[in-house]
Amino acid sequence: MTRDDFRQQFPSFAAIRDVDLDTLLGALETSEAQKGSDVISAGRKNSNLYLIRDGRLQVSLDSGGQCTVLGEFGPGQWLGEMGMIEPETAGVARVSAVEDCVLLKLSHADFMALRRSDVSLTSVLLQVFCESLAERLRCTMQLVYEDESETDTRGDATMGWFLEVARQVMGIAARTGT
Amino acid sequence: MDLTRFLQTVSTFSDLTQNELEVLERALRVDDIPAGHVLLEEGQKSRSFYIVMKGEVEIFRKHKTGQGLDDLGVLKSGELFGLQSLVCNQRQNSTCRAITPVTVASLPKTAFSILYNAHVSISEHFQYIVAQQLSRDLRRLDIGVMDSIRSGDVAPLYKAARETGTVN
Repeated sequence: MTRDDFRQQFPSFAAIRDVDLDTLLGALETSEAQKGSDVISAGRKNSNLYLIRDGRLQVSLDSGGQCTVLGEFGPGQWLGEMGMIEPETAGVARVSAVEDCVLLKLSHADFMALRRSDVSLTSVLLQVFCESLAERLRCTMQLVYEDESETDTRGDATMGWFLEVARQVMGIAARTGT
Repeated sequence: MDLTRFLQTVSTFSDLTQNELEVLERALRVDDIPAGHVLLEEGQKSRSFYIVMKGEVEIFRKHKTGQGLDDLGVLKSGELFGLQSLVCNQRQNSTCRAITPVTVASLPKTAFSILYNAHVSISEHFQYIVAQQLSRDLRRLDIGVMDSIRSGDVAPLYKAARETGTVN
């Protein structure tokens, strides 16, 4: 993948300098996910960032034998940054390929190696992730606290509200504009 | 109090080199703050981040109903506040006020920007700390909402929310 291809497909990382981008492209591992396969399993630790080059990934929750689809990520988007930054805890959602996908993967180990060798690169990456994660947190907290005073009136709408909160936490609402 | 020696005792800075600690020490400003003084106010954009050197700082936020305050805890020596909103350019989600007379080391936004450009290894370290905290907070909410979905009860989600993003 060329620098121009990368910048065109992932404009959020446009601030990365040419020399640092070459380093990043060298560190990213291209992986393929076949339609129907799991990229991230629910309840298992994920320590990889996935940039989606081609295809679509679906995020779903499994509860009580029922699978609820929260949303999808497509080309130019990414997920897994929390696991790459803080790999100690497992996520609750399952991420699976709804079609054959080409992914660019950066592991926690490789990210920490980049932190030692190329801080100007990881500084740009971290700034993008910090701003994105902070906005997700802010929107989620706003959603939770705005409805706290309406607990008694939510009734049957509660499950829909829970799923809306889940989408906000996972950044699906923001990224898909819903 | 020797500031460099103090910074060496703060676990958040344990990965910084001696040279980086000295650069940080030169950029920080130390002030004695009287009890009752508000250092950061909820809703305002952060102008500095602070490290408590001596004394206690209480954190609270306005209750969403508009009635009363939610007490979020007390910060003591070696604890930081205001960093997340500085890095992410967001408004403060809580108020931080001195309970006792306190001594704080602070880094104003202008100095933080200079540090970012001149010593990227130090600012990258701060960005990583913030990214880790945000990831933990979102993961806590992730688990809270899942527990609420499974139980049909809002309590796990509200508990997770109250434990999250205490001080940014």
